[in-house]
Amino acid sequence: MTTGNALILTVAKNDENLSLLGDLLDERGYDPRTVNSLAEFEQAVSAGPSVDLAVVDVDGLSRDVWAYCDELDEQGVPILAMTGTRPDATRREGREHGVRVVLEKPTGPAELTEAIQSLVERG
Amino acid sequence: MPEHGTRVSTGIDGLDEVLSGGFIPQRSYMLRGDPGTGKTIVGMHYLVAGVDNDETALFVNLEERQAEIERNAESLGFDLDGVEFLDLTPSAARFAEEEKYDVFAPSDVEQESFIQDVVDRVEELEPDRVFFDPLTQLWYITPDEHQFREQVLSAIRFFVERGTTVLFTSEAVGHAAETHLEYLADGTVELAYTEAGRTVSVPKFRGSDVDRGPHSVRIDETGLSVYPKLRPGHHETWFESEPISSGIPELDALLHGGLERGTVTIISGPTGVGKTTMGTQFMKEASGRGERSAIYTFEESMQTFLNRSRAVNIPVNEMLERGTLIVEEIEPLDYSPHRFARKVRDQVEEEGTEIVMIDGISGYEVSIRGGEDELTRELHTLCRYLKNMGATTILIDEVGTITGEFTATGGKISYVADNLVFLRHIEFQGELRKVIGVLKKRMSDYERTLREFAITEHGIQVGEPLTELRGILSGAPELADEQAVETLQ
Repeated sequence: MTTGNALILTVAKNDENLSLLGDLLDERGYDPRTVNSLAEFEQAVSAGPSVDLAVVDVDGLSRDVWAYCDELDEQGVPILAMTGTRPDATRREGREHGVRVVLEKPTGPAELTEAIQSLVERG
Repeated sequence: MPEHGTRVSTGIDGLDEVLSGGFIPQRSYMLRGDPGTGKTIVGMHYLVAGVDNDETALFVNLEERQAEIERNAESLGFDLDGVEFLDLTPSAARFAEEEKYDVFAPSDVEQESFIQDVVDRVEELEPDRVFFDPLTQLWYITPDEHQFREQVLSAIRFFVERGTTVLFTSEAVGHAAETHLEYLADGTVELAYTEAGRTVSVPKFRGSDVDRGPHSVRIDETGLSVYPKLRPGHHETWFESEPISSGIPELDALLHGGLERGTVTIISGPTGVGKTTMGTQFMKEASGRGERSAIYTFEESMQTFLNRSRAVNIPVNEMLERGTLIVEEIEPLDYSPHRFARKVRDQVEEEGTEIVMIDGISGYEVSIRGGEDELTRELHTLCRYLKNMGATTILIDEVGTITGEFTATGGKISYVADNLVFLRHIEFQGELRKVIGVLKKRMSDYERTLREFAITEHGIQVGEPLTELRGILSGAPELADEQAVETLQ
């Protein structure tokens, strides 16, 4: 599998964030699947291992987000989390739920792309 | 597209004159100034000039909405119908949005969108001229100074390579962004609003000589006008330096012929002595020869002047009808020296006016809004121009008290004049009388004696030289001997 056609589950409650993330991933040659609620996140996760990577903007989502991250982790899906409010706490907690990289918002498109590429390549 | 070698008009005559014809095509120019100095108005003139010239003109607005701009334009009498717009202002809906993005910084998001919008519109329209207002907005959507410079430079190149002449405004006076923009632009036009009034100057202009200024600016219901500083050395005409007769033999005798063309005469004296009437007498005589004169009255209303002149047998109504006289009332607070000079220039160059009277120097001084040195400088410049153009200039200067100690002129302006004619009241044998004399005459000799004069319903009457009196200038002369009484009576 090349990084160019990786399927990336993109989760964000903020519509504008979701749109910008989707556009960026699309431009970089990835295939983004965007969801903007926990319910949709749950549905996507329940569908079984079908994505190569998950990018999750945890701001605005309840603590249930960690449960879905656990499921993704069991499926072997690498997770990149983003937060603008509690980066240290998110790093600590995220590590316990399979999150491999936490980026603090706002981040740069180049930085995000590099982190995604690295995670996709490692698998 | 303007023809090769021609200039791109700014749409403002005076500014084109200052720039030796206008902007050089396919270059970029920065328009700088504090809020309210008229930058957007200059932009409107610029774009409308393009439309009038069958060019494609694009307004890229980054701060004011298109609807507001069009409203303002209408109130100033601009028709922006043919102007294309690219509205890059943030929408009001943006403010009302509950959620705004935070995943990336604005400089990463807005910049790309901005650039794409501009490129798309330019490729669609291929504009000949574009106005960015204000370009300093780009500063807030670029991540750092280096990228800002790069973006601006590449934007300018993008336009210039497509044959577009770019004018952009800078709103942030003193801001680092402006320093970069000024460096990158081919020229800078600076608008200012000072104690002396509105001005425009051109501190930078690659590729051509310009008149840097500062020059006067006026904003009114017709838009923005520029009145270039008068440069007398740039104006010259050949003329015969002959004396102009007053039409009164005794007065001509006093002046050894009259007032020479191309000279400046100050007629000075206290209030009510007849200075203006004396000046108008020369115009009456000139009118008889078909020559045109102009009177600029700073202190008296036109109606009062006309009434007074008619009362002393100066046919001003006929002169006005024949076109040999124009009288303009000047409100000094409405005029800068440059604007007034422009008015005089138009009279001299376009209407062929040969005698110009400024009544009076005190009123003109109010328009200067500076000190005595400024008055001398501006008056000198205007008089120098008039002399170069062969016009005969009469300046009315009110000085001194009714009688008493003699004062030739007020202040330092006497050096401006080639001729100095003074009028005085004297008290003699219980009556208030008037005398006229010449203190200075550059182009010819003159009578050293004084003459009595009177202003009656028949006009000005000038008597014989007052050789029999002494101490005239004290205001209370004495007879030299008995015989002189008969002369005066």
